[in-house]
Amino acid sequence: MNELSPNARALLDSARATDEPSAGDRNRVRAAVFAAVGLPVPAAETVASEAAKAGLTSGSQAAVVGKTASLALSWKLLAVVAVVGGVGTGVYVTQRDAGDSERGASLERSAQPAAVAEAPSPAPPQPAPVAIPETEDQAPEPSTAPTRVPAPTPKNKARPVPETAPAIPESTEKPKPKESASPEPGEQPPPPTSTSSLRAEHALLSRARAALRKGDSIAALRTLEAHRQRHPGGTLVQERRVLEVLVRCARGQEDKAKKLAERFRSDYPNSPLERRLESSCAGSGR
Amino acid sequence: MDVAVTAAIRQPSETLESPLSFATIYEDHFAFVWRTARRLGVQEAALDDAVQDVFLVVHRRLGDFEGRSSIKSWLFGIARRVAKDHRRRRDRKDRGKVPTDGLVSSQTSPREQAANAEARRVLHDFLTGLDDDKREVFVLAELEQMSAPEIAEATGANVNTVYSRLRVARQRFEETAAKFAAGEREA
Repeated sequence: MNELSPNARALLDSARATDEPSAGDRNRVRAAVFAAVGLPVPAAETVASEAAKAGLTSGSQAAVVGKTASLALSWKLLAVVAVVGGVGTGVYVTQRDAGDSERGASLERSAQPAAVAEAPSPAPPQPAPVAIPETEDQAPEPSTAPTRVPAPTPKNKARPVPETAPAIPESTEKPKPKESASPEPGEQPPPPTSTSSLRAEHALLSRARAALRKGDSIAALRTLEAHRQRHPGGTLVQERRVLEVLVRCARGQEDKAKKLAERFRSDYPNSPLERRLESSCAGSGR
Repeated sequence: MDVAVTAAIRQPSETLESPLSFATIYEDHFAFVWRTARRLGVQEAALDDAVQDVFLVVHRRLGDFEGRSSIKSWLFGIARRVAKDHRRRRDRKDRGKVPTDGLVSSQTSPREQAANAEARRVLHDFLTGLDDDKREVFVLAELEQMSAPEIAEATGANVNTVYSRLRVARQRFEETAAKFAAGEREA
């Protein structure tokens, strides 16, 4: 079987027509995510423009933002302030370039449409189905897979892909990379992950990192220990273990750092965080 | 403090030229992450949380992404694990419930909206019934229009396996579409 029949294709296209997020979804999640990672929340010009199109008032825009019931109050307040503030000022333009990267990348494929996330009625992309070879011999080797990076946006204020980073990308880890959702070997099975617990993990590790920067390695270790106890199989276990190595290095405990690094490498042989270890006192070349 | 240590403990976004790197990824790929989470079985009520989780991990790991795979493949790898966690939690709560709510375009007629919503329900039923491996390949090939080598990169499977999974998934979807069409004719 090479491609879907017209009947099946029509069903798929019909289903896909309602599968895009709205501008409200994008803005609501953006407000929460940016607040959680401590970045300034961009003013949501899109909310204003979409709302204007729909004839909404600023009050109803705030209601859209406030729809994120799962957020803590502080996040909600940040979101509302950011979005409502953006209605008046429009200081940050992000949506103009939204999708450029996807569009740029998609040009490398024939008949590959862009994902139009903001369109109120997104037209389903025209199919460019994978043609299955008649025999397996016809299948291209994985090594021929094109390695693509997102096309730079016209603003070119930042590149999401640092060229100098030699880390192994997660997606090449085989067969199934140990990942954020995996429990740390030898530790308890993970409790259910939730956004709030991930946020709590993130906050703890940020605190530990800040303490290390300030040279307060004791506080850093204490915070890492708190993370270990509260999130034994947490999403950011790998980060915590690497950070502990770095703290040991900062304390001049090179032997301990090397031992921890060795265990980490054994537990996560293809971890993308290996690069951080390599640049520390526990680097394998040292 | 050792310069290397200082460099190594920087926030992921700080290893780049500007914190906007993360913002760029968010803006460019939000829709992809959203669609992927939904299509991999995250329910509507949990979609916000799931997509947030994906971008929190992205923020953490951005400094370690070096571009040897495409960013979509990288994001998909994160999204599939987050979706799996959410599915696991949902399964514990209410097994067998299929997400049928969601967005309906306001620029289509009520009849079209109903037809699209029904098609979407059928698609979600179909995806829910597939095993993880085939679901991922079907979603990436048929809904995201990715090529087989790209799918292989995103899923960690080899290209022959991708073709094989896609072949089976397409056959099953044909059966689903045929049943749906037969039901429509009867109705």
